[in-house]
Amino acid sequence: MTKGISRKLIITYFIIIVATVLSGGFCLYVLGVNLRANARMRDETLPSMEHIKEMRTLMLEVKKLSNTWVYIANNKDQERLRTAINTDYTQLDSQLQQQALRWTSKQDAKQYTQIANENNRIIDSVKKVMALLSAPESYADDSLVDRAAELNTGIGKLVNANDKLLTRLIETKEQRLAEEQQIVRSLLDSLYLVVLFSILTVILFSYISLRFAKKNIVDPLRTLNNTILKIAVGEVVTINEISRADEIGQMHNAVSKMIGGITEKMNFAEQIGKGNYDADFRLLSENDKLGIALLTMRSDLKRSNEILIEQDRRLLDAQKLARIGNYFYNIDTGEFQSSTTLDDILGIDKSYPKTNVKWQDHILPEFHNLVAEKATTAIKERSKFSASYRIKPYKGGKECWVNTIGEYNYNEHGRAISMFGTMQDVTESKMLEIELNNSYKIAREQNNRLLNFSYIVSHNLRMHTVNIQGLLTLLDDAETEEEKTEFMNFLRVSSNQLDETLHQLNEVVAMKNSLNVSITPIALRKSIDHAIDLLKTNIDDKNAVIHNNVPADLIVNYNAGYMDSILLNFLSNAIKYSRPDRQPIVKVNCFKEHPDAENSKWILKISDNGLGIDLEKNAEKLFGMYKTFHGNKDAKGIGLFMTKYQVEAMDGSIEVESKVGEGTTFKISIK
Amino acid sequence: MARKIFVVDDDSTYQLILKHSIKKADPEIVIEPYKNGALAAEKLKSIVNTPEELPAVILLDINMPVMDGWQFLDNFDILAPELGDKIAIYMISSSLDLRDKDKALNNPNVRDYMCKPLTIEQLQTIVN
Repeated sequence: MTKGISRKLIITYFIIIVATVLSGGFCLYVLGVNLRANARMRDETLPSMEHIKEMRTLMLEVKKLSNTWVYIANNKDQERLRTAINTDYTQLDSQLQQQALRWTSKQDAKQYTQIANENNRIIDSVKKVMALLSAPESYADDSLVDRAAELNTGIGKLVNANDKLLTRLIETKEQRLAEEQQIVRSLLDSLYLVVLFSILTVILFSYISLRFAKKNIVDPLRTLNNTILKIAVGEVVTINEISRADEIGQMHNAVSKMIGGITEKMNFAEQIGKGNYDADFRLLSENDKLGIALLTMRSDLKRSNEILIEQDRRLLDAQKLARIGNYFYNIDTGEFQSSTTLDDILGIDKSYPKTNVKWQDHILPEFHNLVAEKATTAIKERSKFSASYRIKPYKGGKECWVNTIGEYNYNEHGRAISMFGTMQDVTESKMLEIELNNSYKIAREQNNRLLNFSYIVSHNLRMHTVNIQGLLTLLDDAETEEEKTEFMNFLRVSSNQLDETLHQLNEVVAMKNSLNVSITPIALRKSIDHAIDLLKTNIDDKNAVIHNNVPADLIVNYNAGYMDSILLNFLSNAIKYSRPDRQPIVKVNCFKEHPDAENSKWILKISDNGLGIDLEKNAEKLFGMYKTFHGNKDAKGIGLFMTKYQVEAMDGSIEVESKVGEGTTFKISIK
Repeated sequence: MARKIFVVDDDSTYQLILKHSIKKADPEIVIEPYKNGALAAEKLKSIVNTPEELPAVILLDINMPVMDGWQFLDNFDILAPELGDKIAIYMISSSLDLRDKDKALNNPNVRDYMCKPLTIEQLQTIVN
C-alpha cells in the first residue's frame, strides 16, 4: 500500500487548506496596509496639507495687511494683522511644527523648517513695521514712513519667495498622497487576484478530489457492491483482477479472488455431485475453512461412496447369483427402471427404451389374465403383488419362468401410480417342479397300474381259484353222476378262464417290459385300412360302415405294432358296442391340434354312434383293466387298458367324449 | 312261504356253487340268479308293491358289467324307504381290497361285506 487513497485525499485536503490560509492571510495583510494608509491620510497627510494651505493663505494675508498698515492704515485691518500675527500664526506654526515631526519624509520636514524660518523673519519684519507706525502721528513722520515702506517691500519679496516654497511643499505632499493611494490600490488589485486564485484553486481541487473519489472510490465500490449483492443471492459473477495497489484495488482483487474461489469450489462441488471424487481445487489460504470443509466432505463422501459401491456390487453379485432383479415401474408413463440382473433376465440391453414400457410386451399372452387379476386384487386389497408366470426375452431367446413380487405406490386419490419390487428367474426350479410333477404323475399312473394289478390278483385270479375251490367241495359232496359231470364241466371252464387270465396278465407284463420301442414313419391311412381289413368279419356281421377320412399323404412317426393295436382296439370297440337298432357308423380322421404350429401334435379322432358310456360314472374306470360296461360275451376288459398304456408310452394321451345312447368319440394325440 | 334269495353275480360258475351251497344250508330257500345289477334292479322295481315276492336277502357281487354292485346300491337307495329294512344286502366279492369293504360297510343298506369263498358258517348266518 504505497499510495493509499487516504494519503491522496489528505494531500488534496492539505492543498485546499493551504490555498485558503494563504489567501486569507494575504487578505488580512492587504486590509492592514489599507487601514494604516487611511489612518495616516486622515491623521497626518490631509491635516498637514490643510495647515500648509492655511499657512500660505495667512502669509499672503499678512503681506496684504502689512501693505495696508503702511499705506492705507485703518483700525480694522490693523487689528486683523495683530490677531493674524499674534494668534493665528503662532497657533498654525506650532501645529505644523508638531505635525512635521511625525512626517515620514524627513526632507519634507526639513523643507518646512526652512519655510518656518522664513516665516519667522517675515513676521519679525511685520512686527517692525507695526512698531514703526504704531501711532497715527507716526504717519506724519516721513522717515518713519519710508523705513516702514522699505520694510514693507522686503516683506513682500520674502512672502512671495516663501509662497513658492510653500506651493512646492504642497505639491510634494499631494504627490506623496497619490503615491500612497497608488500602493493601496495595487495591493487591493493583488488581493482580488489572490482571492480569485484561491477560489479557483479550491474549486479545482474540490472538483479533482470529487472526480477522483467518484472514479476511484465510488464507481469501483458500486461495482463491487453490485457484485457482492449478486454473490449474496448466490449468483456467480466473474470480475477480472486489476492492477491497483490501493484499498479499493485490494478490495476488488480480494472480491475477485473470493469469486474465483467460489467458482472453483462451485465447480468442485459440481464434480463431487457428478460423483467425481478425484476432483480437486487450490485452497485460498490455510485459513480457507470452507475449502477445508469441502475437502473433508469430499474424502468422507468418497469413503461412503466406496462403501456404497462395494455394497452395491455385493448386492448385484447376490442378485446375479440368485437370478433376482429389482425394478421400478411407473404405471402412468411406462417409465421402467431395472437392475442389471433384471435386464439380463428380461433380455434387454442399452438399446431398450425404458420409457413407455408395457408389461404385456414381456409376459406370454396366456399369462396376461393371471397377471391382470393378481394386480387388480393386490390394488383392491392394498396387498402385495405376487405372481408366477413366463416371460419372453425382449431380443428373443429362451422363455423363462419368473416369480414377481411388488408393492404399489398410491397417489392421494388412492390410485396406484407406480410399483416396485423384485423379479426372480425361477426357470430352473420351475422346470424341476414341472419335472417333479411329471414324475409324480408318472409315479401315480404307475401306482394306478400297480393297483390294477393287485386288483387282478385279488379279484380275477382269486375269482377263479375260489370257483375251483367251491366246485371241488361240491364235487366231494356230489351224490349223483350228473352232478359230478356238471361240476367237472364247470371246473374245466374255470380252469380255462384262469389260464386265459394268466395269459392276459402275461401279455400286460410283457408289454410293460418292452421299454424301448422302435419308431418308424407310418402312413396312417394305410394302417387304418389294414385294421378295417382285419375286422372285416365283425364289420360285416353288424353291417357297419367305417369312414377313413385320414389324408393319404399323412405320415406319423409311431411304433407300428402299437398303432395297429390301438386302431384295432378302438375300431373293434366301436363296432362291438354299437346300438342294435341302427347301422353303426364310425368316422376316423386325423388333424393337427394347432393348425398353425409347426410342431403341433396330431389328433386321431375316432367317433361312433354306438351305445356311449356314462362318463360320470365310469370315467375313472374307463381305462382300468378288466372293466367292461356292456356285458358283452367277449368283453375281456383289457383292450382300453393296453391301448392307453401304448398311447402314453408314445407321449400321447386319450380324451373321451360320450353320451349314453348317442355315441362315443375318442381323441388320441400323436406326437 | 319259502324264503327267497337274490344272487347277483355275472360269474355263472359262482352262481352254481352258491346255489348248491345254499341248498345245503337250507333246502327250502328259493334262489333267483341275476347276471348283473341292472337285471336285479329291474326285477325289484317290478315287485316293489308285492311284498310276498320280495327277497329276504340279496347277495351282491361288486364287479359286473352293465351295472355293477355300487350302481345297484345307488338304485336300491331310491327304493330304500320301502325296502331298506325288509331286505338284507350282503356284498360278496372276490376282492380283498379293504377300500371296497369300507365303502360297502358305510352304505346303510348293506348288512355285511364278505369275501369269496363263503364258508358254510357264513352262509348259515346269511340264511338265518
